[in-house]
Amino acid sequence: MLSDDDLDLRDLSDAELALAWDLWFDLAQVTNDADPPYSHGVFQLLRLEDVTGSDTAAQRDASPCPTHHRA
Amino acid sequence: MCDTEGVVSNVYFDLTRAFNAAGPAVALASGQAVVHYRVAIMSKDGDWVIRETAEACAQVLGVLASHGARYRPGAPLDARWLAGGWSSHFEFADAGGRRVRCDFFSRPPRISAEAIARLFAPSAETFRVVDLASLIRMKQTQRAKDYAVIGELAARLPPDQEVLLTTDPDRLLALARTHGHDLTRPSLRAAAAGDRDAVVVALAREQDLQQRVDRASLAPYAKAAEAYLTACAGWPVDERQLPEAHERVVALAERWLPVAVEHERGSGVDAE
Repeated sequence: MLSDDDLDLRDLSDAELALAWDLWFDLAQVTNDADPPYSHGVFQLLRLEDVTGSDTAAQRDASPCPTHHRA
Repeated sequence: MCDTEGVVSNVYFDLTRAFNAAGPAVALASGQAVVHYRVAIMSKDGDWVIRETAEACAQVLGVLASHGARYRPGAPLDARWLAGGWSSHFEFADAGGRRVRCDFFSRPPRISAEAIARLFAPSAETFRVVDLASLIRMKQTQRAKDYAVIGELAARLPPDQEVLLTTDPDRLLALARTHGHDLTRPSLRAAAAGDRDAVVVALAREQDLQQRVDRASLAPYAKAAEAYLTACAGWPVDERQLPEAHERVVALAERWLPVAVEHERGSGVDAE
């Protein structure tokens, strides 16, 4: 089950939830390079090397905001 | 669909409204739907069930193009492949340089055609979200983290539905007293007998079976996509941007990606 902190979203106002989500989304960018290539859909079983030469490495090089990627 | 007022704004919620601005085209699903139901913030990608029509695909592609999105390796956003169960994947950077990933499918697993049709019932509502029961069934995936969320989502359902979907042993024991009539669910049968240990074991077995079934359902797609993904790998990233890239993805798919995928039987997971 989820923790009380996880479940506190119901007590937030719409604005607070939007802010919390935005902060979380900002922080979550740090793990971009470590993310699996797919989290949903029928390609989920593929690993990073299965889509090598695709967008992952090139995206890292071309990122408009390098600080959002893991060093 | 969930009609809402005063919905929270974030990039995926805003995209949902934009995709539906010209008519019902998508319903927000998966992790961002979990945010909408205020259960947890657990996904940084956006996933939508898309209406299986050329018009819906065109609406979505137009919005994605306006954001400078590009194709990630995946099926074309085209009703032919969507109808075969394939998924389409896109990515762009928002104004702050943050990665925004957008995934689409029209045949969500374990959801009936009637439930999918209800998502796109005519209405002026642009913020469409998958209903709770469908969301729970979509969350019965191979990933362990989804099952904690299922229990919390189920708690928001009426008791007669919660009892069929919850993953919380204590809720199941409590509900079995008043709603334990459908004893086809093994964990509910154990709950009706008041055996907590048996409930826990039965729930674990249910989860394990659901995870194996989900994984088995994806394996044929991974195999069928091998040649197509190899072809995609040689395609420079800077040439994948919408709208130009769409025709090329369709051409690649017409050559390398089968529209229909045969599901193997006898894997064992459907025997239980």
